[in-house]
Amino acid sequence: MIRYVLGRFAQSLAVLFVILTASFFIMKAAPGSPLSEDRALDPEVEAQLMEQYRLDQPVVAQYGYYIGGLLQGDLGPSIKQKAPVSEIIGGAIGYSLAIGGLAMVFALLLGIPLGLISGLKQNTAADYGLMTFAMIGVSIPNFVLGPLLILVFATGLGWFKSGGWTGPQDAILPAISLGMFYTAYVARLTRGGMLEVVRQDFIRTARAKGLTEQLVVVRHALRGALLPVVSYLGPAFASVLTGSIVIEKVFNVPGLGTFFVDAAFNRDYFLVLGVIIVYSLLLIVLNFLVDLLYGVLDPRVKVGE
Amino acid sequence: MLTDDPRHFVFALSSDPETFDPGVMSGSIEGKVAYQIYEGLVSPPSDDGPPVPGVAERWEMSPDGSTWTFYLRDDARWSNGDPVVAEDFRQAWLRQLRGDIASDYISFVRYLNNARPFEQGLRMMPRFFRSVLVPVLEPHVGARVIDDRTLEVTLQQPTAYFLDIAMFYTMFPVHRGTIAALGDEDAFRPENLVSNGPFRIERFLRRNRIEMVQNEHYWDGDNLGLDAVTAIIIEDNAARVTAYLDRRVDWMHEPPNDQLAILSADPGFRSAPQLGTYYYRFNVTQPPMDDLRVRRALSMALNREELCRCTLDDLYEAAWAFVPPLPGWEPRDLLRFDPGAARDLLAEAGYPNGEGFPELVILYNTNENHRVIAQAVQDMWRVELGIEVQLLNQEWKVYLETMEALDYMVARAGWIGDYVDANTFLHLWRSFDENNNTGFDNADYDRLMADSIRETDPAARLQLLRDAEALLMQEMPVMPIYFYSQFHLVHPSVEGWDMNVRNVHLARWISKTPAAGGTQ
Repeated sequence: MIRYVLGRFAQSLAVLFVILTASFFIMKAAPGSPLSEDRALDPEVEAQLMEQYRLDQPVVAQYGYYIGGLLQGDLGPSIKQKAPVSEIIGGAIGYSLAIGGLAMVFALLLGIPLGLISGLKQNTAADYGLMTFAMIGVSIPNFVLGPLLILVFATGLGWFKSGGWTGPQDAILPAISLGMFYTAYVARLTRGGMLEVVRQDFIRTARAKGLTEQLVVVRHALRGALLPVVSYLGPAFASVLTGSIVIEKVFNVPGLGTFFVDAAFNRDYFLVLGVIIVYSLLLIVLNFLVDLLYGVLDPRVKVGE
Repeated sequence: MLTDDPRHFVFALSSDPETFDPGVMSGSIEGKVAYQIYEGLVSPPSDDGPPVPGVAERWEMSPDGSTWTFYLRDDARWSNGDPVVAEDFRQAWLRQLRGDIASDYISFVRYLNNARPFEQGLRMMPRFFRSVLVPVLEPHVGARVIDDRTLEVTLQQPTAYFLDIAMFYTMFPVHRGTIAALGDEDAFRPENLVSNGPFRIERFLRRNRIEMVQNEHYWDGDNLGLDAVTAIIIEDNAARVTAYLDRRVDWMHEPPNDQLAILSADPGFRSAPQLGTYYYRFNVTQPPMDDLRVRRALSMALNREELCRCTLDDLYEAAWAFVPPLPGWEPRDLLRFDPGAARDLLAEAGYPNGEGFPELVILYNTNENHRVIAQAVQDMWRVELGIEVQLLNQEWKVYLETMEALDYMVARAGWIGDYVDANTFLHLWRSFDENNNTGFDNADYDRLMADSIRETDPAARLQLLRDAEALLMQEMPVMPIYFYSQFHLVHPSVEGWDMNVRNVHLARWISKTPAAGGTQ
């Protein structure tokens, strides 16, 4: 087990390094400078800033300095915001995690029961209704759903604010917009898992032993039915967090995604890289956790062998 | 809601300020905050009037206009209670010249006598010598502290609009003690910031809000109509409109163009000319734009009135000159719409009815408004001159790079003036100006501009600037299209918020009536 974890750790570091290196050079290859504006800088001041951010050095040297700083835990400065990248990310990540977390909770709390009902009542009106809902949920992009929710619940009913962040209540609409796709997807996965599991021998055995339908579902069927959902959790959570870019823009939430997009447009190199590191770490860690969890749920999977 | 509080003013800001260091900042976003938390020697009034007393209660100009003496009020205080003294201003300016910080608007400090030689000398000097030489050279820069309350500013040349320069945030004082203790970067972090304006920063949440409260040491605190000011950061301009309509903000700026017609019925809608020009650059270094006749033909074929009417809902004023209207400067009609003459000129240049004319490409940065205008221009040129025009949009930073590299034929551009003087629009086209980006290089123009800076007689100076503009329009490296307007939504309960061409609004002048009516 420890060997497995260490192996995965080394693997993850290598992956992170490759992502970083590729991102660094791709970004440097993009035309445009972080210092260019419609009002041109004074040439001497520009030279001073180039020196300050080491932009006057060859790209390879810049890369060396950046990696060197990283090894000492320094994510570098934001060129545009004139503040350390770590500070900006530290201030923004909470919002993204809140929205992403709430979206996932929403997806699981709603998606799993819907999927179960659908699976247990296969080919009934309830099943068709729920799966139609799931189909719609999967099909509507969140940048359409977000403004629709704003129109109905903020502008129309006045229950929520149309954007910005003053407290946790402002996470609700963004989380629903973000979580809708995953709710629908989780419902479909649960239904599929359920349909497969209820046909298995061990379920028949459980029934034959005279267990109530409730016990059969909760104690025996559910575990197996949720396996596809669990394996989906890691990528889903990661994509909820990284996918919140659009939603953060729509709802004007000061999260990571907002900074990521603007940093890319501004060629704010270090801020872009910093956010990429955070996103990559999230993906890597979450996938790892799912692998561990998978072993717990499915006795056939032995982690570390 | 915050806006319900009659002592609390809430406004929407379109982005985070990049910095709170007045020596580093360079945008209008930063200005919208800086003017609340700092105070210069003189302050912008709420309207288009001349600068009013700020930290300086009065000032004198020498007869030749090159020396200004500012008398500072003795009750001006920093937000920590320290007195604001003349040295705070002097050091704020010197730190820019010394290169302690990278100052975007260093050109403003260069108005001081000997500023340029001091700055250039230091830049050329190895770091080691700088610390030795700075104390020797600094006294020669044209900012002399006579005593804590008296600052004598000597300018390189008499500058008629120097008060407008002194009013600008680049010239704000800095708290020397904080810089000495924390360094140039940390001293201006919101949690450490010591400022001298009517308000101070209480809290800054990135991409969320800036909370400002009254500076209890402010000299004119008794006359302030507000206890607190909050800037809510909302990037999207349609979302800013919604925030205003929901009563979450008292003031929002720049509603989207396509909503202006509807919003103009709102009781809080305000519009006025802004100090800015929307124009196209011609790359005069390459054919066919290197031919003056071609440039003039293109300009003459452009019906600006119709363009403003059809694509801009008549919300902007057609520009027949480069400098927009400003106090003491009415734009003249230096250009005209004359498609017949345009066709003649084009024929003269060797392209009768547009035959043989290479395909023109209009470059613009990706934006719906720019696209609509480019399409209108494309259409007019095609119809009037019979030439083929392509549109090319590029992402902002790419577009900037393309323009700087002179890798374009015609490019969309805009300029917002930094101060209320024609110079802020005309200096751009000097051959050596870093904002030129057209390849335009005209010795007569450079000379007129240099003379205008040296000229002390206001009427004669104005005439030199007029001549320069006329020459510019005759040579046509840039083709003005329309003058900017500014649009705002200001809740009717807000008083003391006036439209002004500088587009600078100080919470110092603002108050709110408690009985606030609804907006809808």
